Amino acid sequence: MNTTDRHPLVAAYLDAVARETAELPAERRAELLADLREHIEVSGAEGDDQIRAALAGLGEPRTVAASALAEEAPTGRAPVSGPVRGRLTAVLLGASGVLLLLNPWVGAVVLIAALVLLWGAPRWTGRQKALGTAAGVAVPVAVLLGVLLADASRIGIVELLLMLVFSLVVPLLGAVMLLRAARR
Amino acid sequence: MNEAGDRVPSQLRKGVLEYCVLALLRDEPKYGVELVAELSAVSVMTTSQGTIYPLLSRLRREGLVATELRDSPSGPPRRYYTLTGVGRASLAEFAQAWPLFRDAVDHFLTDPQGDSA
Repeated sequence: MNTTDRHPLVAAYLDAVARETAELPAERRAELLADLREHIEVSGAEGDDQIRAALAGLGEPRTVAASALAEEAPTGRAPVSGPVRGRLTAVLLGASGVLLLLNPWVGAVVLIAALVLLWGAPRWTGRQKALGTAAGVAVPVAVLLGVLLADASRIGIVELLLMLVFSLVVPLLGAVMLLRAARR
Repeated sequence: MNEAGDRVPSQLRKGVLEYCVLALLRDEPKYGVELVAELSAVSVMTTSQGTIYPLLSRLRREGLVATELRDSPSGPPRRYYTLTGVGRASLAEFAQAWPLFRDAVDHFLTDPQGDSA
């Protein structure tokens, strides 16, 4: 990571934006500051002059803050899916693997619910939805393959433990990926 | 630009800027700096580039765009913005309404006494 965000000019600019946006919810303010910091980093400004130019391009802290406060006002267009729905999707997906092992019917219902919520939500890109789906479907596919291919007499405690870990970890990884993506 | 001189463009931008952003995302995902640069290339669209980020944040909350962090061949990872189905529908709606709106304004500006629009 470069040192842009520790540059005193950048720090002073971000502090000014933070002061002017004191009325914003903390989460929204943090997001704005992260976006501005990322903009400066991605634009590759280095040295005082370039950084000064990049900050001038962003505009007065007060102007940026005013626009953030204005966007916070209700616009009449309701958020399509709140953070609650995103978290519910991730929790259902994360739990589906273990539930499938404990009770296939309950697990199947939970997994299907998670996938319906996932594909109906606009917050994730197609690639993230596909990854989430793969993480959820991996467990039933693995169990099915295990049943079809393995000789039942050869399934010992080690195989069972491996199966348990697999059905715990893979959907959880998918859930974590979705949560992180939704927060961005 | 002085306060008075920016007033009209600033008022006009309010209703249309978000659709310009959606239009820029129509064919491919783009990252913030890229979007800002393309908007700034048309001078009336932005005066303060930083004001785009609160707009992008709202578009994401409303489900019109989705975001994804991707590695870059050079420099830090970039947050890419993608048009969602909802965003595409909203853009189509605007694209349909805009010519009628533009013609109506032109009508009043050029021929306010005209008897039909």
